[in-house]
Amino acid sequence: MNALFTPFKVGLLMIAASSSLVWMSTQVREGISEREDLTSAFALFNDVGGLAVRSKVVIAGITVGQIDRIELAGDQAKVWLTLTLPLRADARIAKRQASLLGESFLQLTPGYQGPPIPQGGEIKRVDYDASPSDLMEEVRGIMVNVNEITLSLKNVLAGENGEQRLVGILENINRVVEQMSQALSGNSPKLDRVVDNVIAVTDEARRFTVDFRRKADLILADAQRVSENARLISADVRAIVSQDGAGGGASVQGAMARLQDSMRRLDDTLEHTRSIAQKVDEGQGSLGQLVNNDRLARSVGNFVDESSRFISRLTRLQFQVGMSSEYYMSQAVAKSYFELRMMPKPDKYYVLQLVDSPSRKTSVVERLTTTTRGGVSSAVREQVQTTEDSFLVSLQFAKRFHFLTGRVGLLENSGALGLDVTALGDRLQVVTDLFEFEADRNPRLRARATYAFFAHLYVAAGIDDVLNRSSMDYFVGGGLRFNDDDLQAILATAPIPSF
Amino acid sequence: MVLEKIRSGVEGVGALTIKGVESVGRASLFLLETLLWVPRPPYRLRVLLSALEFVGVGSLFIVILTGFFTGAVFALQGATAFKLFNAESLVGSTVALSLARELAPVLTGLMVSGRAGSGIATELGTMRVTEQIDALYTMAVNPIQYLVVPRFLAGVIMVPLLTSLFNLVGMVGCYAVGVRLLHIDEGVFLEKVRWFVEPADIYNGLLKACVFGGILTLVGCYKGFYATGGARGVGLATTEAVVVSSVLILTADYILTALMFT
Repeated sequence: MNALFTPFKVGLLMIAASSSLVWMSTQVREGISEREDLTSAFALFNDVGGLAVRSKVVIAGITVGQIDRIELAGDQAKVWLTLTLPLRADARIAKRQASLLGESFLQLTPGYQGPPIPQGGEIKRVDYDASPSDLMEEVRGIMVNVNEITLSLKNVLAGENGEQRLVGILENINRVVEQMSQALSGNSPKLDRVVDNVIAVTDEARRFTVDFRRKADLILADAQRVSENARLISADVRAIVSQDGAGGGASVQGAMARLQDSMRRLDDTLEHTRSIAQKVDEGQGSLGQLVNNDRLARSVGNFVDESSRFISRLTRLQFQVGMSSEYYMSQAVAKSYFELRMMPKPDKYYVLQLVDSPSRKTSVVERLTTTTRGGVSSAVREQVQTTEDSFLVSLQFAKRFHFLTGRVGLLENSGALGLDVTALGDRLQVVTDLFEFEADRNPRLRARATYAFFAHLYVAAGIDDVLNRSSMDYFVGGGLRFNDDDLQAILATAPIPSF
Repeated sequence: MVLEKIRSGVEGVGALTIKGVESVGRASLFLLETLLWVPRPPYRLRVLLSALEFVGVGSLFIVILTGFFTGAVFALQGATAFKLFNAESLVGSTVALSLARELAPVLTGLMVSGRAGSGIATELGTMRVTEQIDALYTMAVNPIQYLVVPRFLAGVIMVPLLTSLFNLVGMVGCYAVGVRLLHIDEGVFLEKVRWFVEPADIYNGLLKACVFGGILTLVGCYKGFYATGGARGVGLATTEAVVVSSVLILTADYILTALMFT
């Protein structure tokens, strides 16, 4: 019973734990960097205090991106952004303070005019928000001014005669107010008359506008009559021109004939256009099919989308070509490699490797040579040990995780696992391969260290078949590895053969 | 007389050094031998299942209990500290990030080490002193393959799964205290968790847990496998297994954190 329960309990735990892992992974933030339709851009700031890698970039409070990295560019900070929407040339960005704790975020205006900002382009319009230190500076300046004012007031009022001066000022103000009051009370009848005059003027203006409206109606009626007469006159002129065969009348008739001819051709063209439009409406011809057949239109749309995605993937694909040779000390043989790496992403690649290798298995052939000389036959038996060259293929999938790269696939015609460790900015690489799993011997473990002295050139040294002492060997070598843009261009533009 | 004492003192230091180097060498060979036996047949599924149950299912209760109260306590302490800055909304994200990256893998490793690691050391130690391991040799069964490999695999598989549950339960505890007890705004609490925690944080934590699982089972097996001196020796091996695996887990945690998150 317990034996039956054990798999059940283990399975239950696995399902529960895996479910919780999947649920949590979906609940937390989707990594913006994992999306494909991203825009990368940078902006130069004088001060990035309060900003950090992964700080938000928002539009109207909605997150549309994040800060990828911040680096020093001269005396400014270069802030790289990853955004989920495209930018235009007039895009603006501003640093805003999120809270009094000093945390900040970036406020983006994506721009509406001008050409789009390309991938890795610069957002040139950067706005600056007043930081707390700026505000304190402003307040300090204001306080200095306030101090000066209060000091002046103190000098004016706090002296020996300060109180008398203040009393004098108040007396002056009282006197001015009294004089104004007297002036207003003395001129009151005059002000009344002025107001009456204003009322009379506005009445006149109202009457004038009423009269004008009435007269305007009459003027419009006259204008209608004048236009009617003009129409009659033009009809008369047309009649005269058609009857008059001499002088200027002939040229006018010629012009009319050309006009009629043009009108006829225009009619023909319109007729053709109408015919084409009718065929398109009825779904005749390729264009008609395209316009009226929903399924065909959807297929074309899907085809365009797929093509776009395919071309996007193809142009993103990086090709790396490598050639190397290694000399095995004990066996005294050389091994050559040709390698093609296809990298759809910086952290993922496929390796195709062709290996020209002397076979690890040697064969011994016995050769018997019989010679007869002077009636005497003699036989010579020779044992010849031969080691044949063999051609091996490796095909592996590799995934990079920080400084570790895991590989799995086929290595030299055998199932293999691999683990690479990179250091010193990828110049130093320790490559370990475990392959040739056989029941009667330990798997073959090969470790190789490579160091790239120059951009494309590297030297290598390592140890092969560590786990089997009888066939363990040391090797040294070197190689060349470079990105091949030409190969990418060829693959991107090569026609697809059809059969 | 004085020279004799100096000589014996130097000899003592030398003997201690040699013993230490021998132990490291023996442990390294033990690890290497275990790793080499992992891909080699025959595969003993029943033994592996039994080990999975012992390490995983058996540790489930203490892991859930520890996870819930860890999340709850951190929420309580975090809220008190963040309240000084009027930033209680950051409690959820802080606890979630701490759990995913550090607390869940380390505490799960320590808990499983205390329960399963000690159990493994006791079991194998008893087998050693009662000569059952020697009996396996006589039956042409490699004890590393039969006893150590299934337990090692069980640790590597089960500790990440338990860590995943620790994460979940820890967040439940944090939510219960933060939102229900301290009345932190629920929407802001969850939004901050979603923004600050990335799947990579969780996966890196699980990777750590894999390493910790390997460490605690290997140390338990090693200490039990080489136990000597009867019942007292088994007891000492058990104690040493827990102490050494705890220290190694914390040391490995620092190294992995430095490699992964810096």
